[in-house]
Amino acid sequence: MTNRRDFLRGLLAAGALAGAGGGEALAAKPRRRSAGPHLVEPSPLAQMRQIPLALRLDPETAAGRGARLGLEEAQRAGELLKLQFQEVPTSEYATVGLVPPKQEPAGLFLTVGPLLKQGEEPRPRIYSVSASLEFRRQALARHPDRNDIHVVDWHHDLRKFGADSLNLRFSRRFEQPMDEAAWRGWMAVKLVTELALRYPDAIATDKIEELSLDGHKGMPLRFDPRSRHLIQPVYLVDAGEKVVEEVAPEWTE
Amino acid sequence: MRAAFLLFFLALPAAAAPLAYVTNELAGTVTIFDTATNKVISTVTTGARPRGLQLTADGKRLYVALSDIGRTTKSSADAIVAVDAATFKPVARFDAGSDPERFVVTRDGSRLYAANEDAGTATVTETGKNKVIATLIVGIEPEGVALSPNGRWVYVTAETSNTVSVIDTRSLEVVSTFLVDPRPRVAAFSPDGKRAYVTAEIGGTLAVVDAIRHKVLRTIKLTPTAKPVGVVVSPDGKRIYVANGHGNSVSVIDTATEKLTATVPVGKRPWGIAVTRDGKRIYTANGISNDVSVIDAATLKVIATIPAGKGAWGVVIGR
Repeated sequence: MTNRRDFLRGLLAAGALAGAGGGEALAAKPRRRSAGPHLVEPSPLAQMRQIPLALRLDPETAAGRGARLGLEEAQRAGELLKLQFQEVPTSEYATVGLVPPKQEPAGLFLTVGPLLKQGEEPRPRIYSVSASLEFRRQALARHPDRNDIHVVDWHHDLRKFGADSLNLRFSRRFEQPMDEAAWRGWMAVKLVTELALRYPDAIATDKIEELSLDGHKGMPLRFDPRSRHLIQPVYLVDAGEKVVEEVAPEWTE
Repeated sequence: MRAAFLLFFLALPAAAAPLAYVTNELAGTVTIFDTATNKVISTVTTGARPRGLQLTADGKRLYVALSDIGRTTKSSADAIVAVDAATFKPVARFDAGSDPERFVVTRDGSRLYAANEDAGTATVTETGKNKVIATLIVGIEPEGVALSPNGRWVYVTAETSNTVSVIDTRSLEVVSTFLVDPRPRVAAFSPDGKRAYVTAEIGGTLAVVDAIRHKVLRTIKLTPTAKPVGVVVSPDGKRIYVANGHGNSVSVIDTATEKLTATVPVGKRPWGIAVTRDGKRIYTANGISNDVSVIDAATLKVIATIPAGKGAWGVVIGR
């Protein structure tokens, strides 16, 4: 029988999927708050249910920093809900993560990149937090006369739909703007941890395609069961790093 | 930037009908209109970014949450200010933590509970001593704050963590937290205090909560275009009105059946919503069309549109 620990090796596996080595597990940084005389903390961690979570992203990359912010925020929500995410040691995960997914029956893999190549068949239990290559190409095709624009999943100048709040939280935390890699890292952790929070008593990797979440993009984000990419708006950015257009997919219930 | 209400008395005409107050977050103003005539009678400059607002139970004092529109760090603009509702003469200025957005005032006016969006906390301020008495950790990006009719519970929604935290006003502790659909915005209690209703902007839903046990009972799906934000329950408790934000409409839900019974098109991006004490009119503050839609509760039609300021955000009705 597969247990919770197996399930919630809930995995962010950019390096593993790309065949790259290394990548330290992100240390769950202890919450440091200015514990003033009035600050009331939630319940002690000792009372929390532990949920194993493995991250395999270099903490010094943008994606790693995004994931770190995501984990810190998930820990806070988890504490309120009497759950705590506990990182699985790197060595343990590295063994799992480098094994072909078909040999890991309970694993769930979210990658922040690279994108699946066009025509490539998605592999079981592997999902990409980025927009699909196909949709990014469609977005870019809206301006066939311009060769000075590129597509991103996120931009630090976004303001609407609470994007300003997320950009501010990231820039305060790391003293640098949140780029698309950082957003993908943050979103990947949000997806995995939200899945765990919403289905705490079940092995629910199959629920990932039912999950519909906010990513500060103004519409519910969910995975395309066909491509296993996250369906989401993308942004066209010019050579001066200015967002010139938002391109949103059509949303169907 | 330190916000400053106008320091002179307004010559507001004595009106038989209540006045209504609208915060305009981008204009830095409060629009005041007469609900009998639906005519604007004054616009008062607050400076900064006015958003949440509430009248005291006796209707004599208006509280307005101010924050810095730039939002980089805690700003000197961050405060909840109290003004005389009739003259707009400033009465007091309260520390309510950083970036206060929505808040509630207790019925006796002795405490403010405010959501601090950027800090992820809820701040409790004792008005008599003008002192912060507790800062409670709630979810990520808290926004909505609602006080149960008996004064015992305060619900604080959190947009990013999709949670509602329950504050016990006796112990000043977060005693429970539960998940709702994505991007919860605002909560409102039924008049009898048995139910609470929580909007989820990205979920497009309204959660029906057992407000005794603090558990989600059901989730009501609104129209596909709805982006639910503001919510208010009619004084008789029979209807729930939801401002659908970027959906540009108001959803009407029957509390007995918990079914969506009507969707009323209004101005662009209705955010705040209020209902008159007699339940006959509903008002929405529309943040993109910069106006207020007035809905007749009997016909569920917009019967008037009142100009407001840029970024109309919240609306309350006086007594």
